[in-house]
Amino acid sequence: MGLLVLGTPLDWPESEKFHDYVRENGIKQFLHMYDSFISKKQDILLWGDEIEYIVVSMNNDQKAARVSLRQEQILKALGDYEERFKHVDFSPIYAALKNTNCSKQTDAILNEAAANPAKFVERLVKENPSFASNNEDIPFRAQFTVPTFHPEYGRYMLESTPGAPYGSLLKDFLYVEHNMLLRRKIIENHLLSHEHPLTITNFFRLGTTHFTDPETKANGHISRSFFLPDDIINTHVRFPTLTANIRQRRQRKVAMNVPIFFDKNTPKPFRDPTVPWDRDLYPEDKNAKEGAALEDHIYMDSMGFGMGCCCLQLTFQAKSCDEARLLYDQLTPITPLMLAISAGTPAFRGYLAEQDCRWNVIAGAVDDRTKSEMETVPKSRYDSVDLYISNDPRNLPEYNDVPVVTNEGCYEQLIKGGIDERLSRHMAHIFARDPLVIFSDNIQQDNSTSNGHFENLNSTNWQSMRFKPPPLNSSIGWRVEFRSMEIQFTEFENAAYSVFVVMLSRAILSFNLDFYMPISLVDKNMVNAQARDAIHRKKFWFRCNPFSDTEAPPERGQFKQLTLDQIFNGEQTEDGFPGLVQIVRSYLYTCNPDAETLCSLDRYLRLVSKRASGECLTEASWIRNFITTHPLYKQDSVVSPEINFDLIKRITSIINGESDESLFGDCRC
Amino acid sequence: MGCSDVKQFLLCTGDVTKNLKSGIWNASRSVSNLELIKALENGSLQELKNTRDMVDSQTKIFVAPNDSLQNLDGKADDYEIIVKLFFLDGKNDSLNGRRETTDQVFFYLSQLFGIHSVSTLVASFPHIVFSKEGLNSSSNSRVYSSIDEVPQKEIQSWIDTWKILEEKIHDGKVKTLGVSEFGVPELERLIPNVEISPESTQVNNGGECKLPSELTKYAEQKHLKIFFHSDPSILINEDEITEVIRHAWPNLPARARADWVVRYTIVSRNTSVINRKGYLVKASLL
Repeated sequence: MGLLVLGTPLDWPESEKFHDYVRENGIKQFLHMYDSFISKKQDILLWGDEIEYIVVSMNNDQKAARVSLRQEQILKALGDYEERFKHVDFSPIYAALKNTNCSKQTDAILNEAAANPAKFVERLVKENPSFASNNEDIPFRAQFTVPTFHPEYGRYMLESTPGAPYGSLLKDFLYVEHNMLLRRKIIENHLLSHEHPLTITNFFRLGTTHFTDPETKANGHISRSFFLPDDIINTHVRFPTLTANIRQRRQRKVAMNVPIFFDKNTPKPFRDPTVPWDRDLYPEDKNAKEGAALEDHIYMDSMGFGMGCCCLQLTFQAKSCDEARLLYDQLTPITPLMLAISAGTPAFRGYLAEQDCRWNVIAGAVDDRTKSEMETVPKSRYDSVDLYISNDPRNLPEYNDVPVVTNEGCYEQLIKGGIDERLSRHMAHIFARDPLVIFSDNIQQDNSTSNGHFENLNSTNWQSMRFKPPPLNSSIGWRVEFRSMEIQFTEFENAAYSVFVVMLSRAILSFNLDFYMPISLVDKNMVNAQARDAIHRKKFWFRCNPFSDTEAPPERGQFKQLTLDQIFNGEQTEDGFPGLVQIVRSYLYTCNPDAETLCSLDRYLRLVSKRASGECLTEASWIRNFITTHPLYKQDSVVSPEINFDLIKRITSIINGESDESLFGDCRC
Repeated sequence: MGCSDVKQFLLCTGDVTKNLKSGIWNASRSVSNLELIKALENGSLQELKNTRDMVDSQTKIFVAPNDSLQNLDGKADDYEIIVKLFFLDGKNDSLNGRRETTDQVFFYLSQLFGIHSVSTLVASFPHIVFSKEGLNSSSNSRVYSSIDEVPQKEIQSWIDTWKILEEKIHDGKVKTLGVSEFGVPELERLIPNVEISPESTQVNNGGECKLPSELTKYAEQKHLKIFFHSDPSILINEDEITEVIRHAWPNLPARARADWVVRYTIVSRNTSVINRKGYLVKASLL
């Protein structure tokens, strides 16, 4: 969620004076990074994941589930854990985990590792000398290092990442699930007994009454929301500043309207009785009745509804700048597809929605466009990619077919600085936005040693893919970030989706796959991906032949609409598209991993395959099903506190190992 | 060069990983030779006229037209090169034949791709299958239904062939050796009698993930890795190879038989990107 700098943020009117300054110096910093690192060829695949959690506080007597606002204390405790164990070599723990198939044993190992990894490792190595690694220095890889924990927008949220990247061998992919399990276990160890870390995209009753622990009131002046108290915002000054500045820039509250799911007893038309239409605390309160809140929709009026969502993000390092640009382009058409099969957000603010994903809600939650900019600037600063950036000859100019706003001054500065046209246009588009948070003590920066101004803008353009130049003072190379996926309940699923995308990226590079299609079609796919039950009800644009062989006849139109089942599992016709899962499977088998690795990774492919075919439910469908078949559900689209409690209880048991065939089939074991 | 001189053929499929019609997309745990057959049939193989003294006048080379035979980019160490060598000379298991085959394989790898050493060489011997369920002594004359059926002469040929492969290790041309479809009974005949143990065995157990405990225990004792594969015991039959050669060379005077096949797979160690995968097939006129 951007970089946390210490200091005093300027208020919006003050900061406006510095916008061009930040832009100009941000470009200078980019040019410096580019020149320093353009010849950097890392040659190694390193990658990592980011997982976000919602800490839920359960009250079994009241049958109430709420979000716990103790983020600050929890993070402090986790930070102490990190500091205390930063010199421990964790690899014997992974060796022990590898050796067991029994879930009770796995749980026991994770418990000891979470409690005191130093003592545990000492004991393990004594009992199993073969577990000791022979390295003098601890290698900087996920299986050796303590995981790290970070704050996020919501004061009920946590984020965890592996402490170091995963490596490039297929064997390294086996660490992912265990690493994720360990991270959750460590978090659990630092929570109170009634608190649980859930990897769900959103808290189903966020913004209803009594949804926080401790109790809070929605009357804060920062977000001015009808529903979300300012207390749910992370206390670090960056977050409330971001919230207030977005609201100030656009001169009205943010407004997200998600169509309500009409069930048998849902009032039609739907005028939300929980909206305090006549509140008069703040000037923005009248936005709702003046048209910001739409009929038949679930109205949300604060950044927290978007940035308070959790998701699954992956970052991987490319061999070079060119390869990073190629991967950025080739993965862009994949982002809506992974969004669709990871769908997990069918409910907002206590109501069932007529959509299954969070994407457009976050887009609206940080949309800083003024009323007149709504005509001239096509998208929110959080939304899908607008431009392909690679110089690959297959990147035809006609694929960049959507209007894009760029900052002319920045563009000229980049071209003069020797950057090629495509990358210049991309950066000038990123820099067309205003910097949202400027810290007074961070305005003066040495452009040859700092990239703060660059990051200010690059990290507040939240796109479905992000292109990340190498940071200064580090050996890290050119990277791309895959950002569209929704988080899943279990580590098995999160590992499956992560490893699938990473293997797909390897398959793209191995087989010279070409998924290019016009951005306008990718955008159409993004819309369809969020639809309720997109698996069964929507088709997606896809390139007719992503293979580079010159003998294939040029298809009429070159792009066609397929179901997700066809895209992932193949067209099942002679010379039809084999499907992304089969392509990844062919990649996997060709790499010749040993039997255990192959079987472990294959179960990830089977899950992705079954989610795309509908044989296994997406989490959105599963949640929707749980709600609508709950005995207390009144067929009125309302997710009551009791239903919410039972749903969260069930999710918690699934996380703890309870099986669910509708979600996983036979893949999880 | 008169047509009647030609007795042998070398077919190079080129890289099978880059096109829609490739059999690589049929990859599964079920036994299949589609990847090889499709590569040969779809490849529109053409005769390589300028053989650069690679072969004598009795041998024709056929290559896939769009696949330029390229050397590897960068350092050889950066790649994992796995070669599976299928000895198909069912009727001809003479030691000289095996030695000639092995030498030819390394000669072609170096001439065609600039490959001078491989990470792993997996040997596939004829007539042996791992999964003997459903086989009885009369069911298939081409595979043995138990180790007891294997003549001592044939077991000895494994050991003798292995010595030839061990020489390649000593010559620095191979780092590790593996074997295909050998289970515990076969490994027990091989390992005690050779200098350098195989590092792995690859088996086809019908798509099961669970391996027989006999094998996993043995593998742990002997520090053997276990892999899966889906190659059939007869990788390419007479009809198939004859058809392929005739298609490329309509003047084929008689039927042909495949003597050996090599599958090469080259993967970058640092990025896990597959560089290429393909087959070389050596055939003779019957």
